[in-house]
Amino acid sequence: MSEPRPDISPSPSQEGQQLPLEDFLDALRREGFAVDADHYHEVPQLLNTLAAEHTFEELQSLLAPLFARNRQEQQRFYAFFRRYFEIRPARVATPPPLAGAPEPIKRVEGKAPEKSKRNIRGQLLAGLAIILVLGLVYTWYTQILAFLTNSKVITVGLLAFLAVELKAIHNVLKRRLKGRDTFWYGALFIGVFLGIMAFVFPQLKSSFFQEYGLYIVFGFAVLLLPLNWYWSRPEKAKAVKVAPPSRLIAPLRFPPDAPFPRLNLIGRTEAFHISRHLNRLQADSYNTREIDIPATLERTVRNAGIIDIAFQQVATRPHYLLLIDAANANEHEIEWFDYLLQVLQGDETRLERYFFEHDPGFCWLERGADAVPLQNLYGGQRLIILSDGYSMADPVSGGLFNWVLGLFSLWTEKALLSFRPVEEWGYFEQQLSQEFYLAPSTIDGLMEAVGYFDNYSDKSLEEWHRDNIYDVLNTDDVGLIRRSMPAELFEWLCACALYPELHWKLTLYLGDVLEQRPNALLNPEHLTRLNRLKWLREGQIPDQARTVLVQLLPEAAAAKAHQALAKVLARPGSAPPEHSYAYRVYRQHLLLHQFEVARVSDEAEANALFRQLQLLVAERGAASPEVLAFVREESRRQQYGLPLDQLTDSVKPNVGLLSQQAQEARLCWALYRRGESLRITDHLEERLQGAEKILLLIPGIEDSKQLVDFARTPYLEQEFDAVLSFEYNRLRTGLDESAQMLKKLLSEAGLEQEGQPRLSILAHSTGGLVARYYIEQLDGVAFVAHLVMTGTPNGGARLLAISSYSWTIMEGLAGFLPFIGSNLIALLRRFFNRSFSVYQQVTVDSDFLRRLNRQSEEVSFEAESTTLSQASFQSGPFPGIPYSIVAGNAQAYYEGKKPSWIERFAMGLLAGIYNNKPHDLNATVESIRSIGDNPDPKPAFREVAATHVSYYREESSVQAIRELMNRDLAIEQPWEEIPAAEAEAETGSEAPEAEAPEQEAPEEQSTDDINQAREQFLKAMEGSVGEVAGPGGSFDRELRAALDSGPGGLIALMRRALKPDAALHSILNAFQARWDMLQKQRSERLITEPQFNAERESITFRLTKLISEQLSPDSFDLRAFVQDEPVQQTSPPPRSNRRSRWVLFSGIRDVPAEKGTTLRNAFMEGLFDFLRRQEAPYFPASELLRATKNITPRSTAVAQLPDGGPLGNAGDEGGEFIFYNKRYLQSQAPVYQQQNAPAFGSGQEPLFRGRALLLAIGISKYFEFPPLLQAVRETRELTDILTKMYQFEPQDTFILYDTEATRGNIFSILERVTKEAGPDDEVLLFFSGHGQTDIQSGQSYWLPADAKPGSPESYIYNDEILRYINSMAARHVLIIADAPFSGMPAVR
Amino acid sequence: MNQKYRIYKGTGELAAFHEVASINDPEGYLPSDELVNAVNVAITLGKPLLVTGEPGTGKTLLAQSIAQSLHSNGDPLPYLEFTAKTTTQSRDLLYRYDSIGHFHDANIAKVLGEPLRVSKSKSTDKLTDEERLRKEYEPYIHLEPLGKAIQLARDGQQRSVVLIDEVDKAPRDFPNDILREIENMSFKIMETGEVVTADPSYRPIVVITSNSERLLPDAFLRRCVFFHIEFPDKGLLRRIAMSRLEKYLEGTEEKAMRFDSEQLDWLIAHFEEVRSLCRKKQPATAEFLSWLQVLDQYELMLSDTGVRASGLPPEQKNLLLLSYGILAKHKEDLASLRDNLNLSSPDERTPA
Repeated sequence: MSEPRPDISPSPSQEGQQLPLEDFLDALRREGFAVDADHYHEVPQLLNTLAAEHTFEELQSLLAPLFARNRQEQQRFYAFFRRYFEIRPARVATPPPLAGAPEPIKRVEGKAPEKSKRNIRGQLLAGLAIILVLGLVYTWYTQILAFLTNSKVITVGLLAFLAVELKAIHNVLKRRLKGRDTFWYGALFIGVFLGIMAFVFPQLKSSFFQEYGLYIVFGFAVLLLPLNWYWSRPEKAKAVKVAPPSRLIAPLRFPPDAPFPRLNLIGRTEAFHISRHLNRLQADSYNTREIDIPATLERTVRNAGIIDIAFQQVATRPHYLLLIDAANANEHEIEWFDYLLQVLQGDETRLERYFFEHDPGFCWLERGADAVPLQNLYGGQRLIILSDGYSMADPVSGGLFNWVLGLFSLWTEKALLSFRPVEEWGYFEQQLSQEFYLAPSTIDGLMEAVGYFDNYSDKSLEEWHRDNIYDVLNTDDVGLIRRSMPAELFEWLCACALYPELHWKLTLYLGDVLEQRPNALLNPEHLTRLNRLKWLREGQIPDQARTVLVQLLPEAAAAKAHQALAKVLARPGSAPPEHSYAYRVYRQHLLLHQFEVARVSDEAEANALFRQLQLLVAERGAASPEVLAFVREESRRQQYGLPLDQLTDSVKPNVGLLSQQAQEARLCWALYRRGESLRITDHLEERLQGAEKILLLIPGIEDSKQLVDFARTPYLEQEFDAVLSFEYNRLRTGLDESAQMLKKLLSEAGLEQEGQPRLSILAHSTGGLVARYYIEQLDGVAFVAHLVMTGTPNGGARLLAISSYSWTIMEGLAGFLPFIGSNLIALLRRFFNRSFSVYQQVTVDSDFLRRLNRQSEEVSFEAESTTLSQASFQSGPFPGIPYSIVAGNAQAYYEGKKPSWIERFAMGLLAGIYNNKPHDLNATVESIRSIGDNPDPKPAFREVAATHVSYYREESSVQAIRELMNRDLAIEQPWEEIPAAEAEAETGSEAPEAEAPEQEAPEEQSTDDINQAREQFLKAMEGSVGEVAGPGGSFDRELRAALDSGPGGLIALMRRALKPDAALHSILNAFQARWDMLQKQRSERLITEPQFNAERESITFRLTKLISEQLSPDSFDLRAFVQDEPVQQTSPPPRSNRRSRWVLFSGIRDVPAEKGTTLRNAFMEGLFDFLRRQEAPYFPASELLRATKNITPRSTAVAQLPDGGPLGNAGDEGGEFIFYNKRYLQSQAPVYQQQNAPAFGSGQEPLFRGRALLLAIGISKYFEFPPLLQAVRETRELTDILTKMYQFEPQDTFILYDTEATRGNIFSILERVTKEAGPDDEVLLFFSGHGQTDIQSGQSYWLPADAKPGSPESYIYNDEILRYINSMAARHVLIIADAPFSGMPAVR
Repeated sequence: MNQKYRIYKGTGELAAFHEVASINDPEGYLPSDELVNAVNVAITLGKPLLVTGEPGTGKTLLAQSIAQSLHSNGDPLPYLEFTAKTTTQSRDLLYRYDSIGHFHDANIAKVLGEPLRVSKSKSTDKLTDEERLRKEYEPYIHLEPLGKAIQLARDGQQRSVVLIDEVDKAPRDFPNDILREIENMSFKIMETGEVVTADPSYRPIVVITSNSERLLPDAFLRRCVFFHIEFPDKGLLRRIAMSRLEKYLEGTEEKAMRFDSEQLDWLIAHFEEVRSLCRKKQPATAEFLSWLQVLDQYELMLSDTGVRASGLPPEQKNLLLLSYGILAKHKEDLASLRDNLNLSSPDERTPA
């Protein structure tokens, strides 16, 4: 402004001081006040006329009316004015306290909700118990009973499981019901347990149980009742104990009067816009028009008295009723919407807001208030529900409950704003949208809903999907999140991560602190984006992610945030009760932030604070990982830390199975000092420096202490320079995840580097599976020298399998009890699946184990459907790492001893479970031993007399473990040495002696050396296999090509040429692993190109040398390379010019077949099975059709389509689609690759020329139809088989999954294939999804993903497909349709 | 004047209404210093003053008080009041055109064959068409408060105070529609095309009140001077009470206030307690004053000002409880007030 700065301070108290007007106005503007040009001349004018009579302090009340626009702004202005001019509030002379002055008023509180809640929960549990009992009694005569009694194993297992977990379950119950009713619940629980027992025992076929079962039950009862009394005795005795740590107490409580930022999130203009939108006048539905008298008069006057009546529309503003699901929304969502509503309510919008929990039938105005039945509210309003809607749907069927339809029938206009992010919307939301208008819970969503009410907008689910812009936020991936949002918003998020909990007020507060300009950060869009994050929806950021976020916070912002947090935490009233876990979190964070603030200004104070924090951490353990990390870092930097041992957080052994706390995985340094084993996590890298031989201990479900104790015996301590132990969450984390963490930790510790010494691993129980997953699936092969497993259930542990069976039974029961039962079971199941993923994975026949052991052939449907393993597997050869296995034999163990009665009882039970096979209590010896069909090299195996828990205590087993560990210390990396004798080590129980001569691997190979070796090799090969393959035979040619191309080709060639049982395979495996590793490093740019080349040469050289020296002609099977061998015997298929159109379809109803599968699944599995097993170079489609017809005779149909006519010579026999084996084609490489190549063999046509196009469509998720469980999986599997084993190339494959497979997409791809396919090409079309047949018209169709019920124009008719198929130029087309009901037979 | 508070007994004769000086008399109005400043700012800058605050804090009275306390030529300023209603349009603030009257007269004139009544003028011959039109419409144009104020400023050369009460009740577009008129103090009568503009030196003072903190449009707020009347603190409340009660006592026979200063302090403290207890609708200054009057009429004699309300003797408690009808307007509030008095059963409140 060009306005001259006026002299405006005639204040007597502040004589001579000028009021810096412009600065003041600027500051005001920054504070968020609307300062416009007028103010620049109004203020001086005002001050010149009025200020003379006022003191300086009174100026604020002169200026406030100019700048404030509402009450809050008025108060804020006063505060700001005082702050700006540093006016201290004058000490107001308070009137003398009145004698009768009222004491602080007690507000009348609403009902305490806790009590009723607990009662509800108690009732629920009691209900559950009753359901169980009733269900068991009811099913006495049902088939489940038959199932139970027929499988004795399961029943006894269930019993054992219950017995083992009895105490744990009881504890859970007790914790849940910590009130005085415990005894009765305990008694009820025991009653249920006894009921089950009483029910189970008489059903057993074993005469032992029949005879003694009731006595056992009785004995249990006698035993349990006093136990129950003991468990539930009054807490008085334990009163001394510190309150149990619980994360549930929020460490931070914001006093309601705290100075929290002004909520000015929604700009005035925007709010005006929204409320205008919401208040659009509505035509009154009863009384739509009335006479507009003034208008009528005016018109009449203008018309000179001729009456001209004018009408006007009667319109009213709409009422809104808003229900917020307080149980399922996160705090941020609720507060944000609540704020929005306040803004709107403050305006004139007619809006009522209620909360509800789960059941919208009862809602209340505020917490603690009485609930109101929803029906009592005014039904004429527009209803908007803010919820995820899950309480309204049956979790089993996915449909809405009937009561939902009834409850909301009063309202005609209703919308549901879903908390769930749009990208997660699916079938369930589709269901909801039948009843409600569905939109996301954003301002946009609200506006759209209102637009829908007003009949001018109807945004469908697909459109929401399409317009969804925040799509990546359902993730823990910090990098992804960072890229998806603006820098300042991410900064804000990082600042929120400083504190372990997320609070709406805290979030706003931090946002306010970080904000540079008004509303740059705190605005609706940003808040919406934050609210969409998975973390904010769940109310917590995982500790790992938080640690990363904190590091990413820029320094300036961090300083501000620390200061703010220190301020908030230090406020009186914020502290949680002492001795609580929350207090520890609170205190440590307070100190941390105060330290961060003080370190800039006051070093002495900072040091004092840090020392306090350090002591606190040493004394009570760190509250969260980043505090620990911080303390360590600082102590190291400042050099005045406490002794390191004190700073390590104590790793407490986990006692009960259910009580295990979430534990972060870490790699510890195992020490043995003063008779005690310690595990220390810090300074790992330094300690590992210079260590040559490293032993890594991986415990199983048990604690790692016994392993550490064992490893630290003097003998092993001398053998190894360093002993590490891997501590991880052994129950709740899946084995594959644990292995991934192990990999991460190892690479962080610098152990996954070139030149690092290789690890020896000693693993116990399930730890062995972790180690195996790491080695076999995560490229650990390059870093591990040897693995010793003790008692690892490689083939699965049957005892653990029981839990999955019991779920099946419970779900069966739930079927009888509508509503409550199914809900409860679904909930429980979700809980258990999450809790015990290890159980799931270690079950016999689990997906995880099958794939780890490479038994992919035997697909078991039960295992498939009950385990939810998400581990990914590479299918590849076994690694060349020597394994050693120690298995315990419990019977042998007890033989010489005198077992106690309980041990005898347990052994008796287990003998039943394991069918009298030897076992170590946890798993059978057989299971421990079976690490797959063709382990390579064969593991060394020892059977010892020990139980699962005494491997490290029994002298004999300790001896065996030592021996095995010892044998491996001699073995070196297989690609550097050539373990000649390895091949001879065929017998499993014998430890193969590594007798490989010490052979120095040359550091560098000169090209001369290489050439020499190459010549030598070729000569040797010629000598040994020449007479079979013949000079110039394809083997010779390929060999030369492979030698030029590098190790990969060579290995592949050798593997093909060698007999399957040749000993060299294992060595090839090791080379293969090494080579894969190298390529991976190269692709990730971990090594430079010259390094890579040198490595490659070195590998080729060693490989060449190895093979040429180890070679014997007997090991080769060169039939595949010889021209007149089997290839020639089968004459190539007749190539006909005739076109063929075949269809194979499973026009099957989804009927159950035996063994829990359905005919449809059997059909598909049979198909896959056939394709996988097929070894012939090629076979016609009719063979496939015949094979599948054998599997499911009633349901498969084959049809030859009415042909579009012959292409070429008339009179040709009808040809058909032919599957060519890819390996076979490759062996014909020149012929296969070149079109119109010289004829193969004796002037015949090339076997296969042109391309094989695969068009696969698999739809599991429909927009408006129920989902199909298997479709996508099957499609993926089929594609996999076809591209790996048959002539289909990945680039000629077109696949549509799920929602991609819309009608439009399917046709556009059909169109494309039709255009692309030339006469020499072949096309296979696969469809897996819903199909239907219209019985009246006989029309059949497939349902694309976007099909709408009842609108046939959105389906895909068979005729339409046939039109495309027939117009294709391709000679052969095969359709495989897996669409039940579609009845492709329309083409018959 | 026995048992004044039990006038209605089911039978009996009704005495004449005892007129007491209204609490709504602007003369005893005591604004806070900040409010005075805000009014001065508005007058200095010639902007309308927008006042918000809880009901009963004296928003409406403010304009009357301004008119009373400012003089021009020895007389108080003319006070013009306009209360917005849900159907109010911007024109209603300025003038009203009586179309029905016009129509009626036109018809009668047609029947009688007489010319329409026009306002008195010396000669109709020399008038232009426009002027004739104006003459014809003039009797049917009735100026409304703001229009009148502007006309006063133009013709009468006099300033005036215009109150636009409860602007939040008017339709949402109303504030925006009157922006131009308020800023320029000028309007046009559509029917005649006449433009009325105020003399700038006699600019009317406009006070606008709003009950809720409803969102008023930005453009409107920008042109206003804003003040929110907070509930007065103890000192101000006391002064207001004193000033009001003096005024009130003038109308009654007794010339002395029944409450001494200590008792008044007790009552004020008690009132604040009541205020914090009422959760649904908090009583404000107006209720407080009525309450004092009623207590005075009920002859509440505070025996002991050293105790809390719950420690008073039962009959005084009953009196208090009776008087709560003025303060608490919701059943729940009344119940919590009763709880505060430790009166368990409603029967007890019938005085012995």
